[in-house]
Amino acid sequence: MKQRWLTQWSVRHFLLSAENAITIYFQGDTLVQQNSRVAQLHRHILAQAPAWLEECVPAFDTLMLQYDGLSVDHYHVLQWLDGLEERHSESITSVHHTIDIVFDRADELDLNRVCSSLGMDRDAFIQRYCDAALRVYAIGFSPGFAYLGELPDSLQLPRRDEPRTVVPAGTLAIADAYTAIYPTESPGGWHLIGRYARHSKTLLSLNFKIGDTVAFRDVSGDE
Amino acid sequence: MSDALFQVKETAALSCIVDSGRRGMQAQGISASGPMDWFAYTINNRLLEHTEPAAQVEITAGQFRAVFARPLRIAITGGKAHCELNQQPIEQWKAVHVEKGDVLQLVIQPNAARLYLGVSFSIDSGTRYNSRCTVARENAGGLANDGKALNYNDTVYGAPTDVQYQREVDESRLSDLIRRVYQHGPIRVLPGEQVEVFSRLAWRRLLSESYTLTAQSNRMGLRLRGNPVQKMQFKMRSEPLSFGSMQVPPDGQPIIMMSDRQTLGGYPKLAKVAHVDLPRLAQTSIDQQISFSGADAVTARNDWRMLDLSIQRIFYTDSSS
Repeated sequence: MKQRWLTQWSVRHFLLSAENAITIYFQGDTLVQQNSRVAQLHRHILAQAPAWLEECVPAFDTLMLQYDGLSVDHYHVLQWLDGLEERHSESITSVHHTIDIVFDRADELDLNRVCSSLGMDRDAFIQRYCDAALRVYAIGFSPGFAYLGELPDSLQLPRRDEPRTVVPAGTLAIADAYTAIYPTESPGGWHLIGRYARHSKTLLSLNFKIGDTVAFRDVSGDE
Repeated sequence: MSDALFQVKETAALSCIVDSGRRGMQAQGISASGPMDWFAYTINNRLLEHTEPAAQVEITAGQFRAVFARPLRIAITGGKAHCELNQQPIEQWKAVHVEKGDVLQLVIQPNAARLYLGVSFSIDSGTRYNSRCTVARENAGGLANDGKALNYNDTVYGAPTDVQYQREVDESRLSDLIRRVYQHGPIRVLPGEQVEVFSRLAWRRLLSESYTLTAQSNRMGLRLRGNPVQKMQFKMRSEPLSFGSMQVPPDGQPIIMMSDRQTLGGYPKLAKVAHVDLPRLAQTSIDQQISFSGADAVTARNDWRMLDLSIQRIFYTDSSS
């Protein structure tokens, strides 16, 4: 079987993840490029929505297709992918979100420790953090949890050695190259640096999509 | 119209309402959920002739008791248990008629993990994402739709379904199939996405050592303990997870992702449990030993199709065949 789709969609390779799932890995010079290609194929597949498709899950540089394994096999899925027509007319609508944050020095949060680990004072940290142009790379881990990145190197810390068992909804956190707001209360291993200035229930209405851009605004003094 | 079906008097370690799970929601970070033991869940629905995947009570480890509030047909499927109706033994894997006031008592055997209690009515409970699955950390499903499991004295309500007739079940074929699905032996695994990141020894070790199911296991994942498959810090981007994927964190102790798994995971995946062996894995109890053997995705899919055909034959043969 010739695999035209591999070049058409800039696919590096794919793997059988299960009897009824394949994971597609994308090429790209940058993560932004890979992630855009993920979003593009994801949108395309959803627009066709073949009956055998059970799940189509995008992540950073991967897309997983789960299909009805009793009706079709992976050869069928690959053949179908090969027949997908690329339509350039589709415009990609990404939304820009500006999100108000209260940075918090409270002891139960990690802001002070984060600043000293990164060797910068609080104002410098907040300044650089709010200057970062962020992108939604993936939604996952928990409902509506958006991985925003990538943080500049100077703001990166590996995740905590000991994950917390409870992180309150609406908490802003960082780990490695990513930052996120916990949409619901959950366990978490990220460093907590602040909180979403509005009620955490309004977070889900932001309806983050892969490719959306995000900037944070410090409203700590406004309270 | 919703009728009281039964009142829960003992909840075992966990009793929660599940159905076949959410569909097409993982892209938004919403767990797939669904039954831990898909075979026991599926057969239960077939025994009660539900035409749509119905909500059932998944009962984990220990003792469950309920009093029925109206006549019903029920079925109990899953791991081995002592099942009694009004202190008289009843069979598992069989539709049973109950009357108002009947007391059902289920005691799950130590070497089994979970049961499915199905009823001929359609259970009326919280719906989220088009499913009645109870997912605690998403506060979804359950009687109050807040993700809570069933509690002492909870009453479960339901509505009649339009099933009119009762088909014969080929019981000898069914018991033969049940024996095959839950037979002892290693759990078959396919190579995981990152199998090549691990040393060859890691894969061989997984297939030759045995692992113990730890008490930290739950509907999200089964945590195993044993000789570490490989201690390794491996940085990778989080990617989607399948039911049965085996992630290996830096301590080398495998975690098998189950029904309520998170949608993305950042640990390398050494293996994935074959779909046909997920029911057997789901029936492993805490402190039981698990061993693995290797399989490939194409063979494993064929095995799954054969199993599905066997199920079809038991429930869909007409008298002439």
